[in-house]
Amino acid sequence: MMLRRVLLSPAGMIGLVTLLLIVGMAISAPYLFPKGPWALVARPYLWPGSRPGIPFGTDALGRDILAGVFYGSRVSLLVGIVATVCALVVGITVGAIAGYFGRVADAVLMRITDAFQTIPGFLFAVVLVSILSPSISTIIFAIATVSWPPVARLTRAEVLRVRESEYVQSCKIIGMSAPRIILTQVLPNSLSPVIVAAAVLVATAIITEAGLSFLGLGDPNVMSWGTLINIGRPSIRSTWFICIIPGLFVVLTVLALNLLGDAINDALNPHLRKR
Amino acid sequence: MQEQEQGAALLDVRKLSVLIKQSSRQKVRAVDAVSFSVGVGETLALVGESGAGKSLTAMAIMRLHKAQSMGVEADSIRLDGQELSTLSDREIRKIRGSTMAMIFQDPLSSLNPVLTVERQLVEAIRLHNDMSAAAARQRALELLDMVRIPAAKSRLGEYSHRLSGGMRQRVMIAMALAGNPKLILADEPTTALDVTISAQILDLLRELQTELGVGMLFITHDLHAVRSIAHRVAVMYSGRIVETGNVEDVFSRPHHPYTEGLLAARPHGSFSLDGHKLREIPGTVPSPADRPAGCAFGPRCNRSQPDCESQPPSLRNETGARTSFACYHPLKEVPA
Amino acid sequence: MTKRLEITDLVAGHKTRRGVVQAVAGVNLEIAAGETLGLVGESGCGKSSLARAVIGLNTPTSGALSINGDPMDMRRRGNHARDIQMVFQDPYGSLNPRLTVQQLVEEPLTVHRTRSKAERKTFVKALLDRVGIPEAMHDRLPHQLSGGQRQRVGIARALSLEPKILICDEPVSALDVSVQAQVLNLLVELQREQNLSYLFISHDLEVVRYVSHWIAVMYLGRIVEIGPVEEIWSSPLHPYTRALMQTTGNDAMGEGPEVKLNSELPSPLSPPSGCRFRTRCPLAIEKCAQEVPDLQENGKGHQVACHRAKEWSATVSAAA
Repeated sequence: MMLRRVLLSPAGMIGLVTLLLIVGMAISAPYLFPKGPWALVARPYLWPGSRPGIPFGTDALGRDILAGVFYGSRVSLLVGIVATVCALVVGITVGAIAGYFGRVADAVLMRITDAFQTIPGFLFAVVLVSILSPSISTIIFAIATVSWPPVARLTRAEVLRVRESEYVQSCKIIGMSAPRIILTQVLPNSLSPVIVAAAVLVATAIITEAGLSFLGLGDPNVMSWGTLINIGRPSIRSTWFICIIPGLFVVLTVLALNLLGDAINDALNPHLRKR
Repeated sequence: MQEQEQGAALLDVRKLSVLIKQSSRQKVRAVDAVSFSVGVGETLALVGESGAGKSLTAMAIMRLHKAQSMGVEADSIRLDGQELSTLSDREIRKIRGSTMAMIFQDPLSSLNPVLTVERQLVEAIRLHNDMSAAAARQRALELLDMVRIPAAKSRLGEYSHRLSGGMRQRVMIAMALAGNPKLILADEPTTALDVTISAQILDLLRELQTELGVGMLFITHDLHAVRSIAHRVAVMYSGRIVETGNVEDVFSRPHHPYTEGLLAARPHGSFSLDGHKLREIPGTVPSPADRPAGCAFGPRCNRSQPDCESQPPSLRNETGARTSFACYHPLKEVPA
Repeated sequence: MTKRLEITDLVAGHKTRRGVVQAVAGVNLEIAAGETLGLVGESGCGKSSLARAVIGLNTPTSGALSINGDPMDMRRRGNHARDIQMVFQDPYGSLNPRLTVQQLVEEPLTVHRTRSKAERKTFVKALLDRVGIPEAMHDRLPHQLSGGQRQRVGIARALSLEPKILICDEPVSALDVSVQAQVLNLLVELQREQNLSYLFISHDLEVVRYVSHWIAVMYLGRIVEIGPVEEIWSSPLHPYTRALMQTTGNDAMGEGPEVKLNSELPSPLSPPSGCRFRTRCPLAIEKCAQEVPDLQENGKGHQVACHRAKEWSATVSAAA
């Protein structure tokens, strides 16, 4: 039902198809490139299009950039999705409790959220990863840590609005317990903007991961889009394609996620549903 | 009281329609060819339930409707001898606020929250009168006195949100009077107010009307308000006028089944004492998009016959009847 | 005889940015089985605060409530959900927009785990049928219904736990006149069938007169007059009640002072001393500023809180 509505809008259609293609890349990587992303296939700095079979050229060590992009999509998507799920779980829980119960719970939880939000996100992630030593799990942890506060704020604002509605009051009157009211009444009616924001969060996480790798703080054992960009960085003035190609994939993914987020937003609004 | 003056039509509306664009192809007639007139010193009440099109009618006369999504058609809209339907937007703007002024339901959103009462009043006065600032200030004070605001001088410096609902509505009325209008369009001016305050505003409007001799088009869903302020009434249902006449006649001897049903639906007794059930009108008001082909009230009407479905009845006069009504099978007798 | 609902010395307030408003300032009311108490007053008089305190949405500052003589535990209001329920004013905001009609009415039953799943379904179906929602609409969402239909669903939801007391907070004021009659008829029919007690709150005197057995008039947190419906309608004694009656064009009320109000409600933050109505009352005397008038019995259960009511009570009642 909702999927159909997402597909009905052109933006949602384009976003979803693009995303599915990238997911397809992630799944098919080991079948298309059984030797893995690190294998040396040709001479270094081979320009794109100069040899059939290696359409995107090679990097500084002669590794196939196309294979790197395919394998990289696995890591980028994994980091983006897992970090976002973690951020959502923490953010929604904090926001819902603060918004619904108010008073002391609200004051304490929101001050903590503020404290996290005052530190610039990317810098904070850099610090966390360098302290914990770079690996996939520490990168996910760092990205989740910097991205839950906006989720908490958004959830809280929506919960505050829904909490005052008469249908929530009517649930109090019929004797429904507070956790049940939050789960069955408040959250379903306040999560639409959060879900929309989640699409953007995945995008931000992918960019953050690329940024961390670019600074050399990526997981050295896995190939991500960020790793590729990092490899191309020393020679960016001459063989710029090594950076640009994975960069374009990051942009494409982020764009697709934003389009999808907008489409979901429209689809979730019950008042826009056809009568 | 002012019988001879009431004869001349101040506002005369012929076949006014408001069309709402649903999509690029589909247009819905929210107001469907209504005709009425308001005499000098007379109050005509447009009464009806939500979706009847009464506010749209007023908006169309003032040309305040949303031009992107709505279209207005009219054979003629004459105000004080001048044809309004052919005027340009610029010319209408000049008339708006001077010859005709409007009072809205919600004065809080129609007053500017960051300007004092004085600033807004003086602005309105100088917009329509060639007056010095000092003279305009004097006039603002007069207007506030005129709408019976106690200690008017101390109220000049107030902001609208600091005033109570009743006071705000009085300020709105003062602003409407700033351009010395001949016609006032009042769109549900008492709906948002409490009963005792609403009674005060109705008293004020009635007194002002006799004092100034203006004509008034009073839009409401409140039958009490109609009874207390209007000389004539036009009952609207789903974008059309179904019955019109003097208030006394329409209320005491309605001929249209909808008018009669509306009057009977209001409680006037005690169920706990006599066990008398209220007369219901089954169903709900159709949206203009789903309006039936014939009489719009037909499906809800207990007097409807097959011929009601063919085409909508037009307003007509029948010998012996004191009101005009749009019905093929009107009520003849006074209902018991 | 014990009353179905008894409200004793109820005080309730809420904090605002400018101070604490005592919205309900010591109210005593009782409702008998199968009867309706109509509560009339203008906005800001505290009638909604009273309703919220009685239903448990706000905790009262002080006072007691009891149902059939059993005192209500103010802190564990969930226990009383099966005794007392509420119908809201706004049929648009009081139903969860994501639940179907069937789910909305079934929800209270699932919360209280009453009946088996199959029994619940048949019960809900019968209840919706009773309030006039045809089966074709049971799977619709609230926004697909008209205002009147939504209010019927709201009534069915309130009745699903089979409470004996229903608080109706302006249940018809958001509806069109022709639909109001349908909902009012439904409410009085249900009352007769199920011997329900209503606390019926409205600003509309004629609606209150139609549904009520008793009428209480509230002004700035206090009950100023209370009595059987025909008493209040035909011989209102309090100047405020008389002013309200005049706005309806009530021509049945007896010979008494004509009261026209010119001013507006004073701030509930600092209510006037003595009689709270005195600042708007054309009949106020010195005593009104000094002494708070208590509700005084005037025969037939008719009580009025006015120092001067005795002066005209004879002529008012004589005409009735």
